[in-house]
Amino acid sequence: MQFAGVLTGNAMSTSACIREDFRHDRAGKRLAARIGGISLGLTSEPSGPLLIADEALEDFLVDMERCDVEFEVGFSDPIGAPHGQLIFDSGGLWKLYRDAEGFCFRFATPHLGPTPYKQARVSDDFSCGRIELARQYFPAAKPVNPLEYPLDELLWIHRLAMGEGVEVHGCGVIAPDGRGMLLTGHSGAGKSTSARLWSRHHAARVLSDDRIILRQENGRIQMYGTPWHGDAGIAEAAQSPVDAIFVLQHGQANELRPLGAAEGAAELFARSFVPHHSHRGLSSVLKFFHAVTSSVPCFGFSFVPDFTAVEAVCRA
Amino acid sequence: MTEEDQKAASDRKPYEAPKIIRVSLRPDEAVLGHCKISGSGGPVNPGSCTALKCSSPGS
Repeated sequence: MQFAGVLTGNAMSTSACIREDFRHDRAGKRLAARIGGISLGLTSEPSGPLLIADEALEDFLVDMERCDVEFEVGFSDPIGAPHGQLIFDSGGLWKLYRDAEGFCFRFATPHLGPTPYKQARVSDDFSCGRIELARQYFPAAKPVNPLEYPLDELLWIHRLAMGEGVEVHGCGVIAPDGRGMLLTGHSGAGKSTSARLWSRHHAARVLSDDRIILRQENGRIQMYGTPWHGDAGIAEAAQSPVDAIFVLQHGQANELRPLGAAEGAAELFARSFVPHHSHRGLSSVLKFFHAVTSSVPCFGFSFVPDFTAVEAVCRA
Repeated sequence: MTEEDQKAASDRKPYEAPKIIRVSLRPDEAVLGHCKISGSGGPVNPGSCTALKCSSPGS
């Protein structure tokens, strides 16, 4: 094991450096992960890079030769002009194009100029594709995480929207009595705060402090932890049925307000990650949320950031 | 009105006029467009973005 980061004066701490070296030792030509019950495999082409996973993804890695979604990874020099029609512009890192063969996500940053540093071509059914890395920005000797944000979430979001579920901005908790609680909220609403409070409860288990995948399985709504954690850094590869949903909001006191199915679905939709360009995807998500709020009680939850909030949820 | 009709009428929920509920949307968060730390991403900043220390646009 080398400590190159320390020896070259890199600002990384020794422990961070050791972790980084450990991850680099595990770099290879094949990477597969399962998140929310959907597996995705990456295979680097013979001339492609060594692949490495983000640290948060490690608990979600699987040893599978054939996944639900399969990608090849290779270099491109440079990435050519886009094919097809622009169908969505995020206003930030990525744009989405559509042609007869499927979709193409293209990633660019102002730091590198308008030329994409990466693109991902994906089949119409989100079952396979190819990730191209612009060689000029990715040194061949250095392992690459091809799923770097936001491609990872984009792939799962689009696949889920084909009738398989949806990703929401939320904190997932398994309470001491075994009930699954989804605490959903926008940024700043208190998800990480809630996750930290619940983490102090030794009998409780927190699946994620920021991103939860919801799916319907055997007639029940299930929530899955994801690697896309928030400020509390909680990301657990586990799942639980959902027994209640709470829409978080900071308040002066702990107050629960029951929400009707339509209002609950609207609040969930406002805190979800969906393919806004796709009529089919949006219809699927709305139908899914109807199923969620028709079977799981929803509450508006104004809360104070102390342990009484946990107790209030446990009493609900 | 038969007894059965009367029972059905009394069991019926009172009419509630439809109402519009407004929910707040956060488009910048919903589209995963930006890194919450640097407003960037990609291989330009290996110390943060490439290592995926920033995984979401706000949490």
